[in-house]
Parts: sequence; C-alpha cells; structure tokens
Amino acid sequence: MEFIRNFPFFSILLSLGSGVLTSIMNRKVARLWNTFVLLAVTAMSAVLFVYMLGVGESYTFMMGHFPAPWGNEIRAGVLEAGMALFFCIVMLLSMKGGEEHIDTEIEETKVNLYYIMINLLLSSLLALIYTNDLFTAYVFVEINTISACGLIMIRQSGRTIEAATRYMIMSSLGSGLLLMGLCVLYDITGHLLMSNIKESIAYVYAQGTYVIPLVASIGMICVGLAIKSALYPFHTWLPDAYGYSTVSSAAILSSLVSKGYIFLLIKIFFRVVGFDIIVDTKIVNILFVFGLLGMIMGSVNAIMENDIRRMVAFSSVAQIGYIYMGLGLGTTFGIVASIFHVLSHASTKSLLFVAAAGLTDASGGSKRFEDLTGSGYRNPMAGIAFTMGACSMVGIPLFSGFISKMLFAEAAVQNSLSKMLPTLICLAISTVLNAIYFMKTVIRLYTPKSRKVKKTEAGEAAIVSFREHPLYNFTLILMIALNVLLGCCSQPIADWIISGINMFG
Amino acid sequence: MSRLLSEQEYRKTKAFKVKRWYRGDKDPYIGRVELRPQKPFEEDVNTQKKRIHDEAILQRNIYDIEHNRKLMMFSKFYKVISVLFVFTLIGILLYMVSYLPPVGNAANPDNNEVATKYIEDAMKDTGAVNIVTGMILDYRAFDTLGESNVLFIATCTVLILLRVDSRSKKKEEEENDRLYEPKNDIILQKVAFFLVPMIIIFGIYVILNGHLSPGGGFSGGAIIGSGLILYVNAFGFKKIERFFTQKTYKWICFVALLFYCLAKTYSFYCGAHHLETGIPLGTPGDILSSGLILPLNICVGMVVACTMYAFYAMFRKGGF
Amino acid sequence: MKVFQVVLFIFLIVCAISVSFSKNLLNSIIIFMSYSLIMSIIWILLESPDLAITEAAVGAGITSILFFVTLKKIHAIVAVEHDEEKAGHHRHDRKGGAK
Repeated sequence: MEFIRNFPFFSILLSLGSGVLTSIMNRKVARLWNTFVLLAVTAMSAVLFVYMLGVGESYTFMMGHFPAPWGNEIRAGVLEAGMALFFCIVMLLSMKGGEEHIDTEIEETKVNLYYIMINLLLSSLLALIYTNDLFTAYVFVEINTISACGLIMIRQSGRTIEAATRYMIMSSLGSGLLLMGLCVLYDITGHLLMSNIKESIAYVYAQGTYVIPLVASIGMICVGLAIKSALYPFHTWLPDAYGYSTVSSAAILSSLVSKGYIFLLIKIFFRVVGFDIIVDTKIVNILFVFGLLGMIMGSVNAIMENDIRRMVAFSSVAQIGYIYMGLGLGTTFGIVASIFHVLSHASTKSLLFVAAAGLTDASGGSKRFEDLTGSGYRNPMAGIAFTMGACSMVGIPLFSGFISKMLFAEAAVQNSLSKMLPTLICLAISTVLNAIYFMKTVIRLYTPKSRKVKKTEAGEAAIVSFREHPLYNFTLILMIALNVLLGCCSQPIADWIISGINMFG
Repeated sequence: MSRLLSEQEYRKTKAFKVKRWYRGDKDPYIGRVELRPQKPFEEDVNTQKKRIHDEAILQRNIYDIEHNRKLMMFSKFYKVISVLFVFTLIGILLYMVSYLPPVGNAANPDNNEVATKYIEDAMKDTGAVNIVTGMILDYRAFDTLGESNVLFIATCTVLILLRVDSRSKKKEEEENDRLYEPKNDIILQKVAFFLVPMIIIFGIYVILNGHLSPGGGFSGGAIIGSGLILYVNAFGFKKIERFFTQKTYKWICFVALLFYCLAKTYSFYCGAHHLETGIPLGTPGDILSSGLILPLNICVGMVVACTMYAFYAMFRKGGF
Repeated sequence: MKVFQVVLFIFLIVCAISVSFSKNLLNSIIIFMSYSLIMSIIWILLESPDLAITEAAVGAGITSILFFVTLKKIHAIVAVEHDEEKAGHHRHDRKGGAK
C-alpha cells in the first residue's frame, strides 16, 4: 500500500491526539500547536486530493487487525479528500481571522480549552467525512455536537449560555432521532458498515418485507440531521448561537459544523440507502418543501433583524434551505448543486462573519446598524471583504454564490414541472430578498456618518489602518481569493464533485 | 441492681453511652457536626431593584398573556402542536415497531455472519473471554476511542462552564461549600470508613477483570468515581486534596488518554498494513492476557473515575 | 419471569411519565433514580450485565448526585422544605425554583 493512503488515518488521529495534548499546554503553545495541526492536516489532505484525482478510484483503510464487517474501516475517495481539504482551509482561515478576539473575549485560563474543542471538532469533521461505518459516524456526531456547544459558550455571557442550552436541547433531539434511525436500520439489515447495509437494503426493498421500518428509519435520520444542521423550522437555536459567540466560533459553526452533518446525510443517501430508493420513498419531497420554506423565511427574518451578526446568522438559515432544496430535487444534478453550495456557503459565510467582526470593532463594539454607519471607511479592508461576501451571497457573477445559484437553476430545469416552477420562483424571490438585506447593509457601511448619529460608548472610533492588523487583513484577502477561485474555476470543481459522487456508488 | 463499677467509671463505658443514646438523653451530633444552615437569600438594594425591574419586564413581555395577543396565540399553538407532535411520533414509532422482526428469532437479519464470527472467534482473535470487551476494545476499537474522547470533551465543556479561576471567587465558593453538607457527620464517616475501600476495590476488580467477566473500564471507573464522591462527602475536600488535586486529575487524564491514542495508533497502523504488533495475546482466562485490552481498560477506568469525581467537584465548588 | 418483566416495564413507563409530570424537581430526580435502577434490572434480564453495572453506577448514582448538588446550588431544595413546613411567619419574598 502506498504511503499516501495512510493520510486520512493520520489526519484523524493527529487531530484527536492533539486534543488531548492541548490539555496540558498553555495558551501560546496551544495556539501554535493548533496552527501546526491545521496546517499539517491541510497539507496531507491536499496531497491526498491530488493523488486521488490521479488514481480515480476510492479505497478503504482498515482500522485495526480485522477486516470490514467486523472491524472498523474508513474510506477515502476524491470527494472525501476534497471536502477534507476545503474544511481544513476554511477552519484555518476562520481561526486566524478571529485570533485577536479569542484573546480578548475568552478568559485567559480557558483559552487552551478552546483549542481542545477546535482540535476535537476538526477530528470529528474529518471522521464524519471519511467514515465508512454508521456507528462511527454517530460517535463522531456526538463529539461534533459537544464541541460545538463548548465553542458557543466559551465566551461566557448570558446570551451565549442560553444559546448553548438551546443548541444542546435541539441537538440532543437530533442525536436521539439519528440513533433511533440507525438502530432500526441495524435491526432490518444486520449491518453497520455502509456498503453492506446498501446491499441488504436493496434486497429488503426488493422483497418488500421491511419497507415501513426502512422508510421510518430514513425519515428519522433525515429529520435528526436536519435538526442538527438547522433546517428552517428547527433553526431557533441558530441566531443566538451564531450572533453572540466569539467570531471564530461563529464562522466555524456556520460554515463547517452544519455542513458536516449535511455531508453525512449525502453520504447516507448514496452509500447507505441508495439514491434510487431515497427518491422512490418520496422523503426527498419533504426536504424539498422545508428547504423552500427555509429559503424564504430565513431571508424574511434577516431583513427584520437590526443586528449585523444576527442578520448574517439568519442568512445562514436561508442558505441551508437552498442546500436542502437541492437535495430535495431528487436528481444527481441537484446533489452536485447542493455540494457546490456547501462549498460556496462555507467560504462566504466565514468571510462575512470575520469581516463583520472587523466592522463592529471599528464601531466601538456595537453591532447595531445605526452605529455601523460609515464603518466601511473606518476599517477599509473589512468593508471591502464584507461587500465581496455580500455580492457572493446575492449571486453576482465572478463570485461563488452566482455559480451555485446557476447550478440550482440548471438542476431545477432538468426536473419535472411540479418541482421546477417552485424552485425557480423561490430562487428568484430569495435572491431579491438576499439583495435587499445585503445591499441595505453595504449601503449603510458606505454612508458617511452624519452628525445626528449619536456617538458610541467608545467615542468616535479611530480609523483602522491597513497595517494595524496584518494577520486579520491577510486572512480576509485569502478568504476573498478562495471565494473568487470557487466562482471562476467552477467547471473543474463541478467535474470533481460529479466524479466523486460516481465514486460513491 | 448491683454495680461493680462506680458511677463515675460507669459513665465512661461504652454501654452507658449506647444506653444514653438509645434513651435519647444526648444527641451525639451536638458539638461535633458542623453544619451551617443555608441562609435565606440576601441581596443589596441595587440588585434587588434591578431584579424587580427585570422581573417586571419579564412579566410584561413574556408572562402577561392576556394583553399580548401574539404571545397568547403562540402559547396555545405551541401546546397543541407539541401534543400533536408527540402523539404522531409515538404513533409512527409504534406502527413501525410492529413491522420489525421479532426479538430472538433465529431468522432475523441481524443474526448474520457478523454476529456469528464475533461469538465463535472472539476468544481466539482477541484473547478476551468477555466477548463484549473484545468487541469494543479490539474489533471496533476506533469507535471506543471516539467514545472516550466524547467523555474527555464533555469534561472540558463542564470545565468551561463551571471552573472558577479568579482567586476571590474561588474563596467565596469554598466558603459557600459548607452549605452543602454537614462536616464531621459521624454516621456518614463511619459508614464511609467501611464502604469506600470496598467500593474502590470492587471498582478496581471490575476494571482488571474487564476482559474476563462483565464490566470493564467504563463501569469500573464509574464505580471508583462514586466511591471517591462518597469519600468527599464524608471527609471533606481537605482530606481528598492530600492525594487528588486538579493537577493529579490533569496528568492522569492526559497520560491515560495519550497512552490510549498512541497504543491504538500503533495497532491500527499495524493492522492496516498487515504487520504483527508483537503484543502477545496470552492464554484466554488469565488476568495477564488479551494483549492491549487490559492496559486500555485501566486507562479508560482511570479517565472515567477522574471524570466522575471532577464533575462532582466542579458542580460543588467550581474546582478541586 | 414473564410477569416480572411485564411488571418492570410497567414501572418503567410509570416512572418515565411521572418524572415529566412531577411538579417538584426533587421528586422528579428521585423518581428518575428509581427509573435507572429498574432499567439496570431490565438490562440484566436482557442478558447484558455490562450495561447493568454501568447503568447502576452512572444512572442511579452519579447523575442523581449531580442533580442534587445542582438543586442545592439554585436554592431549590430549601424552598421545598419551607413549603412543606408551611411556616407562615417566615416568608421569603423570593420563591425557589422548585415550584
């Protein structure tokens, strides 16, 4: 076996072990080590990705001495490797973008606990991406949930603790449903390994013996993961959690944690149940309806919001609605569009959160729109970055959001009329709503401050020069570059996603 | 009644004390148990004002249902929907369960080659008599590695939430701590004197025999943890701090989990490349057998015991 | 044995329902404790002693202790005592969270 094939295993174990290592480190060493781990995992994933593109077929890696149905196993294909690479990059950028805030907003003695959370979150995301076994997926879903909870409440204020409690309750409900679904699946198939379950399910479905438990379990898994990734009616925990936690947490939570669950759901669709059966059971239609609802309602809520962070958080609800709508279209093309939107939303949302933090800092820490007036002049880099992110969210060409919207529209056109019309109408409405609240914010950022606006508590905030926060500005530039890269090189990326999905089957 | 001892000497014997206690003449607690009753909640005028203000706002915005139409509609809607939701869920689940394969039927789908191999070969493959331990620590060790990290991260989250780091607050917490238990409670102390060693030894037994009999690292660790909690309750934090402090906790957890990670990394690596690990399995049934399972069980047990105690200490006074 | 199992299951359901409907938090916790105890017996009947040991130690033991400590911290147990004593002359303006 070639040495490169060890890399998924190395990256999971490295991040898992460094969580433990970090527990005895002090603040500075913990940060250095965390950066090292993120860089190392990024490098390994990149090498693996290039290698997988060359090889063109997936492989499995035995975890332990026993072959698959008995022991554990992880599996790497081109889509998994690419996702891991992308997630690592976004996590690294979000961490670096919020580094100053970590130091100021978190108690000094608890910073290393924060890095433990980040390391374990990384390992759980990697394991969710690479796993080939449903129970392993469940275990790492748990780690993901608890570490996300820690990320929310590390900044100890009343709002974050309340948000963390809400998140915990909703996530426990989601985990419970997921676990019940897995138990039923095990009961009717007798396997936990994804490929074996797929064989048994094809058999069971053809026989027609356990169809009702099968449908119920798929339903429970879908609803469980939808709750965890904040699909529209289950989004109540989201605005507080994203709006009041520290910047890196908000960026990571919105761009990675919920996306990990969505990736797991896609994996379950293709690797566990089989996409034909999923489409045949009509469960996708439910996801479709709730996705459409989320697209509209998330945007409406965002328009009514008067707090920039919460507005961006509500915009996440809308974007997750897009992703589920793509899943609900029930075609491979819809899935491709969804995965592309996972990428584009992850890169854009982290950019928006980090940029918003810079803008609020330039306005004396206030997140209200009145105080943000003209902050685009006070912190030029953050203003530019926020504008770029907003353009991408609205769907202006050259940015990634445009491509994902185009892919959604193409996928909808290929569908039957009953799904095509609602999709296109909702896409149009949602885009207009997106434009309303993002452009409103951008205009507000570049309105010169009038004298009537009352001064913030910190007085007139000074203009932040470009050289003052080199790391922060550099991160923003990289994030914009990532976004534009996704928007300009969309064709190779779409090809890569399609080949990855083919490898699933 | 003839009495061999004089009255004064009789008063010193145990029999007299027991009799006195039995008659209820003297309360053995008086002068020995130090229990500070919890004071009624006191607050200064400013915080009280603020609280009353907050409560008024809360009352107006949240609980004043009669004047808030939207809220009234919402609360009614919520009640109806939640009841409906629960009943639908119960209905779906019951309906689904009736279609599941019957329990214990030989023709069930889950009675397949996977389970058969576990039952037939587990002893040979892993060297553990207890198949369950063999499964969780050898066949599916990756899941268990994740599971022990769940525990670790749960402790970290509790540390974030409850650990008190500033000096002044720590002192305050320690003073308040006396509210939660009587100090020098004789009954508790005597019972704990007998029970704690037995509980801890039983826990150690369960851990060390994890590969031979039911139990293992997690259950044994939980038992030891509850023993430690009983000890703290009876004798107070001062006594336990002579051998168990925050530092001990940190290092025990660190060493155990790191060993776990490294050992499993080594064994996964060897397994994936079809190499021999060089760890002897021993004869099944011996205490020193089944390769890595015994040390891993000990590690898990230590982590769990420390975690359980740490939870308790965190909840009580935000530190050790 | 079958009857015993059925009795245990009925107890389990009764416990689960009464935990959620009990108005007093202290009672809920004690009922929850008995729920765990019954659960651990059921695990033994289902031939999984591993789980039974863990359930008894964690579910019935440590979880309930943590709940008790929490109740004490939020001044919930004291309020219950006062309610039971019906000490009319000794009235706090602040009611405990238990009710």
